[in-house]
Amino acid sequence: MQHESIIKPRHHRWDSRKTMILVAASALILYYSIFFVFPIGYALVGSFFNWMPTKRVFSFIGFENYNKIFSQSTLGLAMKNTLLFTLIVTLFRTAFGLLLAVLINMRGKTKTLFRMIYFLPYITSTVAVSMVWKWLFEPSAGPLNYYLSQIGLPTQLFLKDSNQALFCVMLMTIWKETGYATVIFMAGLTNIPSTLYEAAEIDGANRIQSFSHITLPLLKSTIEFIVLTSFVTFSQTFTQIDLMTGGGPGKSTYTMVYYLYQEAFSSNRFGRASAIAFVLFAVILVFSLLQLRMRRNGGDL
Amino acid sequence: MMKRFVSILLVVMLMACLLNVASGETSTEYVNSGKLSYDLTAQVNNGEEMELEFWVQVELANIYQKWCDAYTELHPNIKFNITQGSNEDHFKKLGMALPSGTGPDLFHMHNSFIDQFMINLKPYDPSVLPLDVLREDFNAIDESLYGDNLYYVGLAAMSCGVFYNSQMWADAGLTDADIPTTWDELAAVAKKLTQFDENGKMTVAGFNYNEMSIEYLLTALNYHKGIPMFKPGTHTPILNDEYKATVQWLKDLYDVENVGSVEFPMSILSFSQSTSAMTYIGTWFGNWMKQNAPDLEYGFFILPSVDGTVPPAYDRYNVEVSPSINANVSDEKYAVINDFLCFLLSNDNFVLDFALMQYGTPTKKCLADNADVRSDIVLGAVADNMDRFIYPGAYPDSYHSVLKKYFYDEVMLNHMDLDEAMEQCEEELVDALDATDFFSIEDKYSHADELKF
Repeated sequence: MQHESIIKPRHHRWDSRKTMILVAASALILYYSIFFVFPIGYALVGSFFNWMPTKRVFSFIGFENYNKIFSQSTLGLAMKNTLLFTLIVTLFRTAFGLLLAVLINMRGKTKTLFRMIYFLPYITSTVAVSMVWKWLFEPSAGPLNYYLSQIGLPTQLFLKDSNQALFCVMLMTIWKETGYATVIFMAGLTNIPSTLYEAAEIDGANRIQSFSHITLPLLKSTIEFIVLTSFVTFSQTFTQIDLMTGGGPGKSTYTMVYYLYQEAFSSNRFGRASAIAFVLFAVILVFSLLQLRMRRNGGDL
Repeated sequence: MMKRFVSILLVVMLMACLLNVASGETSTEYVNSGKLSYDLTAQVNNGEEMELEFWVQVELANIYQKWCDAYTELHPNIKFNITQGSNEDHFKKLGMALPSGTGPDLFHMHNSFIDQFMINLKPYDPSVLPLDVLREDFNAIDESLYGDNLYYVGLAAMSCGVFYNSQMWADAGLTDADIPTTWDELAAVAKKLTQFDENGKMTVAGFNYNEMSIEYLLTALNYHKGIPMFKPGTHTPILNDEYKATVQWLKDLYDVENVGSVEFPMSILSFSQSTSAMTYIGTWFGNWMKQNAPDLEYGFFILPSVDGTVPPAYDRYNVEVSPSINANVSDEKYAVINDFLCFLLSNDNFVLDFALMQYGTPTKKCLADNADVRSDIVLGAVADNMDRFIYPGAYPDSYHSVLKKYFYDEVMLNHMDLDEAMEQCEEELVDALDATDFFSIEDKYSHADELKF
């Protein structure tokens, strides 16, 4: 009897664990199938169709959507803007985030206060921030041109100038997104043992040498994380483009996702929008694989 | 306690009265001066309870709520569940919901979406809303007809014109006699209204077409020259040398005449902030001004023609329309919705409310001489010249957004070569319009013989 009572609960526990795993795995598979695999598969199929959902049109046209987008200059422009935007914002977000984290980390009691101040823009709504920055950049009524004229500099068109508009949106994005990188870097900095800095100081290393020989190498995985997540996030930039420039002037600030959105929701061409999505997917895939390969080879980012 | 309660009640009643006056709304009284009849005593849905899902644009929510309540008062078994959305959200949500069968039973419609939505709509029931009777009551029935089907009725005719700041007009020494009658006079008046500071920097633009005016202005000015928007019966856009000259004239207004600048904010914002003395915009702007700059006094005139003679058309007009019905509604709901639509369309006060809210001229014939419409400086001016306003058909929004992209963004802001802009604009317009089933009806215009097709 005693033997049985020991065996039975163990058998029961085993069954529960198996059931739990089965339920959890099934739920995850179901979730990913419904919300990721099916829509992505449907979009892939849709990219070969003349697909207009509101008109219930879904007719096979082969590679025509791909031919059309590759024959238009908009794809090249959107791709160039997306890459430029992603690279510049990722670079500055990472660099400023690291710099701010190191500077804040040097402070004593005010560390938390500064961390909070720099994190605030990140948690503010992109919509609200975009509207405020749009006003700042307003050529005739905005404060930026007022200050430029006060110091004798010529006024600028900012968002209305095709040569400046994308950089203005980048500036806003860097300002808003740097706080996130700062907080992540600060977490990374706390994991570096202080004994390493003490030893370096005894050996006569100055702050720059300590930074380049201790901080930077030990934050490598954090930097990789920030760069990778930034790359994926900013290659899908949409909200600030939509609100600050609407893709303009002309198409000068079109990004891939904005271009995709325009084709789907303004032109009602979901097939063409799907084709754009898969071109973007291919680009992100190539860059991610390159990044992975560099990590495996131990190369620098 | 009682005194306090009565005071609060009086204040609330006073505020309600003031709000009602401010919005220009009529009473909830049912008034029918037309031919379409409606039986106020008849029971609907056999007296059984029914709830109708009704999606409306936020600006029209009060009007629809008011008349839905009036209908529910007549038929207590029918309730409406009204969902409000901004213009953009409303139509984007409909675009997703209607094809998937999850949309509302009826919804506020805009005719520029008819091409996309038609397959998901049920036409009005001709046994309840007979075409011949509606034709007797309304001016814009044929504009809303697709085959023999009516999916909405045009209730308010909307057009555009020039709004001017009355104070600036007077300060510049201008009077009513100076209302321009030619394009050159318009440029001359704009010049008088333009102001500069001591450094020569423009502080007030005499004329502002920035961002949301130029695309409509181009169409109107081309009508003055007799250039239609499309080749007859097609959606092929017309962009010829005369069209190019019109773009150049507009560009010269800023670059040569120096009466405006792209540095100024969007036309309507700048006008409401008194940094622009004149702007060209839709009549709806009158309502926008009531809400956003109620103290600014303004005047209005329709665009002058090229040489002062009556042009083939002063401008285009569009119609704001009655609600449409989801194709997926049950037969019972379809019957009640048609009864509700009959209640609305036969009711002069609803049509007037709707037209005044949209700031358009009511298309119901019995309201043609309505005092509220005739006394309004904007609606009155449009109504007086309605015969020379052309309806090109319910074309998609993309037409004007492409014009704006090339002739404002590329030409005015990016200094793109005009020939290149014309070529790229035409290519993109053809691509955008080829995705639609829209066909121009400009050739049906009563003065179509004066247009250069």
